[in-house]
Amino acid sequence: MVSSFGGRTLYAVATATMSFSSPQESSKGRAARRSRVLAWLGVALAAAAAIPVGCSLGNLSPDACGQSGECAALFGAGSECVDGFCTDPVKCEDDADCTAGACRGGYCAVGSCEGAVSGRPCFACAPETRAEFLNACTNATCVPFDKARVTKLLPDGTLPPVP
Amino acid sequence: MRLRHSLSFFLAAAAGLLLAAPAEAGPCSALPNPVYINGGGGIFIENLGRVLSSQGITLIYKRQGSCLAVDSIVNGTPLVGTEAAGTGGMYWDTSSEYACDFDVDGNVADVGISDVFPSTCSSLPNGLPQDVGDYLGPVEAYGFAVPRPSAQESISREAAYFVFGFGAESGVEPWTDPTAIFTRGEGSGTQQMLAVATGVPVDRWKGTQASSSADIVSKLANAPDKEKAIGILASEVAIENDLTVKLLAYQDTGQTCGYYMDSTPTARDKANVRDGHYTVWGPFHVLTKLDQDGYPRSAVAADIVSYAIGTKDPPGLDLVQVLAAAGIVPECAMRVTRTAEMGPLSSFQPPRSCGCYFDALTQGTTSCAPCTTSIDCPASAPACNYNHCEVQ
Repeated sequence: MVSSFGGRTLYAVATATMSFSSPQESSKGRAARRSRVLAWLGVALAAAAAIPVGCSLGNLSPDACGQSGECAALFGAGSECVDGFCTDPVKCEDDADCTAGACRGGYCAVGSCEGAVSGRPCFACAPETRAEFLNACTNATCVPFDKARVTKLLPDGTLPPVP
Repeated sequence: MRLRHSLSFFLAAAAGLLLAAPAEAGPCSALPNPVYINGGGGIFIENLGRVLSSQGITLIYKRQGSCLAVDSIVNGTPLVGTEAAGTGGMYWDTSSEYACDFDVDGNVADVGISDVFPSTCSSLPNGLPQDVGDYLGPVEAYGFAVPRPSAQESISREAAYFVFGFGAESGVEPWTDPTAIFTRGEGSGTQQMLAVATGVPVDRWKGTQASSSADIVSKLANAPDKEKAIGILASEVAIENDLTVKLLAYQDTGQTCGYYMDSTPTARDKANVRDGHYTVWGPFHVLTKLDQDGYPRSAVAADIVSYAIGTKDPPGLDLVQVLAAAGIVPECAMRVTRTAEMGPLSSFQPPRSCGCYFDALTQGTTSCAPCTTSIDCPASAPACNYNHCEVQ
């Protein structure tokens, strides 16, 4: 079972540490990807005792980040799983930017690719994994549940045992 | 004159009352060629019952929890009850529904219909006995229901875990009153399925137990505080009572949004069940005793199995239409499949797809080409099924 608390922590730290850069990167995209890679590594080292390393929907185990759908669901359409880590989502100026390339979907809204109807990142290719099925692009109505309403998760974000 | 008129009126009224009074239920075993079925799948059984009655066969149905249905076949526990106690059997002819009494010592079930895998009901370390067959039929979805006036629209898997696992201590407003949280008990396939989905052990659900799905609907409808009330229902029951209750969108762990069973709150297309966005579903399990060659022991049971799994069409009955109207998805309309309770999803292409027809029935339209024979169909969708061109 994926830890949602872990995912939120990772994303927050990754965002905060995006200032890392490598002089060898020649494109802005790869530099951003490297920043994210380094951010994940930093978090992984810090949390190695309790949380496995990697990127997924909050789970850091490397083999879990084998599907781009997971990255797209977490970071935005176009975010792909490369070498176990998630790349940046696709930035766009129009809808064509979102549909170009493999497994990119949605439409362009405020500079980043969103799901067709839900306004959320979605996986546009034929789904194969659980995360991809659950977050595949669709025109269906969706209603997000405010996770803040769940007030009694354990400090590590997991569920306490049922009494 | 006045007295005679009054007497005549009284006699006529009494005669009318006698004619209108329903006959007392008789023994189910006295009916023509009785076949005993129990468990879920009510609308499916009712329609089959009407069809088979014209063939001189009486399907006698006892609606009860899935695990009781499993028990009736695996252990041979007989069906008992009377019409007077509200626990007897139901049967149909082409136009009406009737009630009957099971024998005092009970009647052995020929077919059991479970919403869940038998192993969900009880430990089967060696699997089912060799003389019990488990055939997978149409798909039903299960969810969390609230009174129609409630402003609540969705629930997450984690929220459901706390609501039904912790009751008053859930911390998930507004569902913190155990007198307004309605459950079904361990014998219910609905609760068994949602126990697996949420992770709340089936024997540790908190709240107020209802006696049946109909009782869940009644409790939701009569809840003093409509915002605090929540229960569990199968899609078939929710549709039957959609003026009274509504199903919440469900956001599973790892999902970025919550999805209804259908593409919209008012649709009936089960689109999200069919493509995997809505995760809490499972096939009907049609259980029956097998002979030494591994075939259903009775010819009628074999037919019921064939109808359920879609290898044979009931005479004069459009089962796809019946199931679509009831919010149940025939296997031929599914695009995902799973082989274990709430197990991993995989893409699915039915051997004889009816997805286009199901769309036409539930949405009123389909993008598929119409056809009379396969000659009318394009190479990309060469199979003419139910008058629509399908991939296969």
